[in-house]
This record gives sequence, C-alpha cells and structure tokens, in this order.
Amino acid sequence: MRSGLLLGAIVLAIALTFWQPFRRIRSVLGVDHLVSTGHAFLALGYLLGLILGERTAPLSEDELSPVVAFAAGWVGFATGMRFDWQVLRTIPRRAFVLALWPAVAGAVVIGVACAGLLVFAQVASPEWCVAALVLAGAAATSGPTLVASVRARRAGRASHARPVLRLLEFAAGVDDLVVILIALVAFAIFRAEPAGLGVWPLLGAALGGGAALGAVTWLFLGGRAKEDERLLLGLAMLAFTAGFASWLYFSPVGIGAVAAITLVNLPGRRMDRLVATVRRVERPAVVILMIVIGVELTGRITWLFFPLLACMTLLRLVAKYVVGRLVAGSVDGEAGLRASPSWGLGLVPQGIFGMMVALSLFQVWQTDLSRTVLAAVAAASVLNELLGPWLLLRLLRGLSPARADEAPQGPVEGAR
Amino acid sequence: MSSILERLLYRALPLAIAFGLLLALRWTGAGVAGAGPQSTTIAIGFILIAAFVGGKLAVHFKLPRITGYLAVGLAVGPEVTGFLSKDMLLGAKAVEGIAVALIALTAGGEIRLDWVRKQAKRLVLITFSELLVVAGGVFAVVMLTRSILPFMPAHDLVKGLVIAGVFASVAVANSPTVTIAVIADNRAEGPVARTVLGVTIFKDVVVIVLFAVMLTVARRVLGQGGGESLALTLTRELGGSFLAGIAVGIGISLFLKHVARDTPVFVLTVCLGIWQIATAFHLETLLIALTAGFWVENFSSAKGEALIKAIERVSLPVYALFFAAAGAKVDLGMLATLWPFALLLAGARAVCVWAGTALGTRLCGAEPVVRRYAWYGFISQAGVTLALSTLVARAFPGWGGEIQAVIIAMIAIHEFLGPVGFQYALRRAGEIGKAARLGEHAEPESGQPAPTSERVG
Repeated sequence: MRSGLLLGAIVLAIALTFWQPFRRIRSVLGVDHLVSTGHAFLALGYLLGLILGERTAPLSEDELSPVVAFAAGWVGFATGMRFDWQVLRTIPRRAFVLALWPAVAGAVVIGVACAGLLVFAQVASPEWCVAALVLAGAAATSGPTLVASVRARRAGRASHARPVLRLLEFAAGVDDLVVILIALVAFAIFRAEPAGLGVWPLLGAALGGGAALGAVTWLFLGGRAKEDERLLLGLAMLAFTAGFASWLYFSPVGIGAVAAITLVNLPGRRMDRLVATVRRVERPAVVILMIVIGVELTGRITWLFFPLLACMTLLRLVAKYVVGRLVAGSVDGEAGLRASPSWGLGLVPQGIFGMMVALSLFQVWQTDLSRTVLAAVAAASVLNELLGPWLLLRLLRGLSPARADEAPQGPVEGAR
Repeated sequence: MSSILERLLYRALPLAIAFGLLLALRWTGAGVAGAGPQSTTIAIGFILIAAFVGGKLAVHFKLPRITGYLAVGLAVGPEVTGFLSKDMLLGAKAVEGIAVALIALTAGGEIRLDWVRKQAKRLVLITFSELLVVAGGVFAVVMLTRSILPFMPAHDLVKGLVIAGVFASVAVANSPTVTIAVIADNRAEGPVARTVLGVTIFKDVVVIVLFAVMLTVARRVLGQGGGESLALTLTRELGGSFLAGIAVGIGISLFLKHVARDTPVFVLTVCLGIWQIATAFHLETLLIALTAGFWVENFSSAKGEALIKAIERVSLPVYALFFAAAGAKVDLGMLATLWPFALLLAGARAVCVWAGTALGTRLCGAEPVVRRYAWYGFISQAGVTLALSTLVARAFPGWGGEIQAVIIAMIAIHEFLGPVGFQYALRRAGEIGKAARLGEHAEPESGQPAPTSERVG
C-alpha cells in the first residue's frame, strides 16, 4: 500500500516535472526553475529511496560509486572550464574582489558557526573540521540559473536591472572558485591521518594530479579527431580524472575542476574542441547525481540536521545580505556592473555545486554525520532556491532606474 | 608537423603519461590500492583512453575500430599485462548492462516493419538453413572427433549425442552486438548490412528457443530433470522479454510525444531500467531493448528517428567501453590450453556458416553480393554465446564446465576474427559509408578548434 502510494507520488512528480501542460502550474508555484537547476530530481530520488526502503536494490553501492564519482568529476570539470584567464583578466580587479566577498563571508560565517555546533555536539576530530569546511563551501556557492532565467524575462531586461543581474551572474560564476579550494582542502584534511601524510603534501598531490591530467587532455586534444572520437576522448579523460580522485579519496569535483582550469589556460584554445561535448553530458550528470542524493537522504540522519539547516538558510542569507550591503557601490557602473545595497539577496539561491562536494564526501565517508551534512546542504539548497525568486524580485523592485542607466556594457558580458 | 611526430606527441606521449600515473598509483599502494569500487572509475577511464588510441590505430591498419578496442582491452587486462585487475573491472558491470541495452535499442530502431514484411522469406530461409547446417555440421564434427574432445564421454553414446546437441545449439549463436557495432562504426548501408543485421537478430530469438529446448531435452534424457518446464522457460524468457520491451517502448513513445526534454538522461535511465528488469526477472536485456526500439520505430507516432539519431551520436564511447571490457575478459589461459580443439571446432563452424548461408541465400534468390559476402557477418560470437555456455556449465556440473571452457576459447577466436571478416565483407560489397552519404554528412577529422562563442567565466 505504502509502496503504491509512493509510486503514485513518483508518477505525479514526473508528470509535474516534465509534462508540458503542467508548465503553467509550475510557473504559478514559482518552481519552474527547479527543473532546470535539477532540484526537482532530488525529490524524485527521495521518493525512489523511500520505495526501495530496506529492500535489497539490485544496484548496489559498489556499482553506483563509479557512476557517482564520474558524474561528480564531470560537474567539477564543467565548472572549472569557466575560469579562463584570458577572459577573467579583462575584468577589473575590484569587480572580481567585490564578487568574491559574499562567497568568502558566507563560507567563513557558516564554517565557524557549523564548526562550533559540531564541536559542541562532540563530533570527533578531524570529522567536525571536514564537515564544517564542506558546509562552508556549500554556503559560499550561489546558483546562476535563476538569475539567467530572470534576465530573459521582462523584469530582468529593464536597463536599470541589467548591471545588477550581470554582477549577480558573474558572482555566481566566480564563487565556485572558493568551493573548489575548500573542497580540495577538506579532502586533504580528511585523508591526512589515514594516509600518514600532512595536509600540504596531499593538497599538492591533488593540485598536481589535477593539473597533470589537464595537461594530458590538452596533449590528446592536439591531434586530429572526429566529433564522436572527441566525445570518447572527453569521456575517457573525465573518467580517468574522476577515477584518479576516487583512488586517492580526493574530491572528484575539485580534481575535475583543477584539470579543466589547467586545460582552459594552456595555449592553443584546445578546450574549445571539448566544450560542446562536456556541456552535452553535464545535464545528465547533474540529474544522475541529484537522484542519487535523493535516494541517499532516506538513510539515517541525526538531530544535527536542523541546526545545520538553520545555519545554511537563515545565517547564510543574513551573511550574504550584510556583506553585500557593506561592499555595495565599490564598482558602481564599472565594467557594466552595479552592486545595489541589497544585491546580496540575489546570491541566496544556492545552486548544486556545493551539494556535489557534500555528495563526494559522503561517498568516501559513508557515516551518519556525512549523510546529515549532505541532507542539510540539499535541504538548504531547495529552500534557498524556493526563496530565491521572491528575494530576487524584491531586489529588482528596489532598484533605482535613474542611476542604473548610467552603467555601460562591460567585458563581463563576454566572461559569462 | 609530420604525421609520425604528431602521433607521438598527441597519442603516445599522453597515453604514456596516463599509463605512468596509473602505474604510480598501483605501485605506491596509495589510496584504494586497486581494490573496491573506487578503482573502477579509473579503470574505465584508462580503458577508454586506450580504446581511443587503439581505435585510431585499427583504422590506420584498415581494421574495424572494435578490433582495436578488443585488442587494447586484452593488452591492458588481467590476462596479458595485468595492468587492470579483475577487481577493477567488476564495477563496470552496470556500464556494460547499459551498453548492451543501448546497442539493442539502436538495433531495434533500425528495423522497419515494412522491410521485415518484404524480406520475411529471405530472413526465414537464411536463418533456418544456416541454423540447420551449422547445428548439424558442428554436431557431426563433435561426434566424429569425440575420441579427442575432452568433454565427450568415451563409451556412453546417448550421453555423447546429448552433449553434442547442447554444444551445437550454443555454436549456432552469433553476436548481435558485434554486428550492430560494425555496421554503425562503418556507417554501412546496403543489402549485406541489412540482411546480416536482420538474420542476426531473428537468429538470436530462434537460438534462445532452440537452446531452451535442447537444455530441457538434455536434462530429461540424462535424468537431471527437476528444473522448470520448457513451456514455462520459454514463456518467461521470451514472452516476458517481449512484453517488457513493448511496455518500455510505449513508455519511450509517451516520453517523446509529451515531454521530449532531457532525452539523453531519459535514454540512459531507460537502459539502466531495462538491465535491472532483466536481471531481476531473468529476462533478456537484448530482447527487451530490441523490442522497445522496434516498437518506437514502427508503432509510435512519436519521432523515433530522433531518438535513434540521438543515441547514435553517443554510441562510440559505449561500443568502445563494451568491447574493450570484453577484450579484457578474454581468457587467454583457456585458449592456450584448448586451442587445438577450439581451432578445430571454430574451423568446422566457419565452413558450416559459409555452407548454410550459401544455401539460404540461393534458396531465397538473394543478390549476388549477399550470396558472396553475407556469411562473414555470422562468424562473430560474444555475449549471447558466453551466457548460453554459462547456463550449460550451471545446468551440467562436470562436462558442462568443460564445454564452457572450449566455447570460451572459441569466443576468443571469433571475437577477433568476426569483426575483421564482417568489415571486409562490407568493404567488398561497397556498403561502407553509404549510411553517412544517404542520411547525414560525414564529419571530417578536425585538427583545428571549432569556432564557438561559448566561453564562460
């Protein structure tokens, strides 16, 4: 009976997610963008996990693990591709710093608060430290999907809104850099004790390995290949990169991102030959990961979930808003960007990148605490994405048309 | 830059670096040290890298790319260099399951009902003449050489007849996956490609029926009954697979009609689902996916062609992984021990395949090019044959295991010769590249960056 009801719920969720006639309902509910971000699949995965319940699923954790590592590496690679120095250097340093402020502040505030909470809950070392770092990374990131969809609508096309939205999108792109760094550090700390090595050598191995794999991909891309062969090569290198990370219990997301950053910044613009391939498979990778996360969330979660969720939603919102307000105006109009006083509200949507880091940690850790961290990050991400449209519209309504018209087009358009 | 230098710099050097990196990981014993699911991803990655290089090399020597994949799989697998261990490849099972379903889904989508109707006589005549000649021929050779074959009893004639029958029923199978992969890889189109594909798929169904009958007869004659009845086996395996395939086909049609969004994700999920259903209910992954593809292509108002085209665009990595993993699993030790028997039986089978196909094509009045070259397409053996031999080993402990050993050795031979022979046939028939010319333009190899505005930052 319970399984039947849940199955019905899955069918309804699939219909709501995919069926075109339900599009208006999704739009009215303000959840249409959740299909694009992939959050809708989180709910599907959760329902699926409830159905599977205690039964022995034919697909075991061992069979799932390579798929998850591969998909996580892919998402990391797709994210790392954005950091092309040729493009980034055209952006004024002040704009770059401004865009990073809310991410860094969010990471610090949430990291410290969660670390305090975990120590108070008597979580052993270094688990509390790693968990706090992963939560900090997830708090730093913000999702660009909602901003991108608003930019295509009337509210986002207004001339006074465009510079602010450009800044939000830019900030949502560069704050992933903070997440990548935090992921690499968190996994190095996690591995330091079992490997009998210090954090720095492990961090060096992660960065060096990722860079070496980026260079190998660059070398391969120098030769001639048809489109389908490029797809094969892209898949091969991404699997190898994610496999390298999995083998050493590093973060596939972080290593994938480092490899992509290396590749995109080596001469010859060979990355261009892989961009379409990576983009084509990025979506399936995200959907697979979201469903897996949903299934995993049906496992045991501790009481720490609630305070961690509060940190990831309320505290994160306040941190982003306050820091955004403090640094607002520092690039007013420069590079086609504008930071209005409440621009931090536009960075509340959390996106999925931080969730991928939390999932990679859960894959190697497999404890109740790591599942609780994953659950807190995932639930916060959903709540923040639901809250996002309302906050963004509030931000846009509060903008002054007269001042924003002065903002010229800038190089950030090309940097996205 | 000269061609050799280019190959060294852009193929050999990065392959060597990847090789060195994996070697360093294994030798230092850092991390998972080669065991556990964490090592599967890197194994898959490396096997795909090697397949990329091996495929390019095979094309250079005018061989099918899948021969290159099989060869590199063999080279880096546990049997030759031991570079990738069996443990590392265990986790690739899910990927293999998805690959088989994806390959069969494509094949089902390639079969048009009107073509089947027009060619029904040809398909039936070639299939049955080949089946009869191969099964009869192999049966006769096994009986005639029973004194030297390790799995044949010396004095018990009845048991010998039964064992020869079981062996013959396994020997008639050939590999739909290899056939489909060679056709897709060469973008082949024409009477030879279509006839071989149609007969192979039809034969796949008939072989499963024949095998189930033979297994049941053997059990009863040898007094090892107690298994489920023949009717039940056939109903479950074939009927269940067809029904499941129709259900999946309807699901895909509905998706294409009402959603048509995130199609690659959907296809991957469907393939995973097919494999899981087949595993859970002991059905045939290949038949379920074939039926689903056939249903979408022939009975759906949705754009099935769009689905097949989308799958075809991503098929190369699937073939590469599937065949490279198959190459890594080739049992060279078994081949080294049993090669005289395997060679004898493979030779006898090849002669029978040629004779059976010649008879069938003559009876149905096929085109001269089909009469001459189609038989090359029926040499390959892979997954289906392996599965059948496993069933024999499970059903008849003792001689069943010996039969399995000889068949695995034969598969090792056929796995390498089959694709080479079929590509040769397609080339001689002038069918290579015809699909690309008819349907879509073949993309030239590119060494230059594709113009794109998709820069992100």
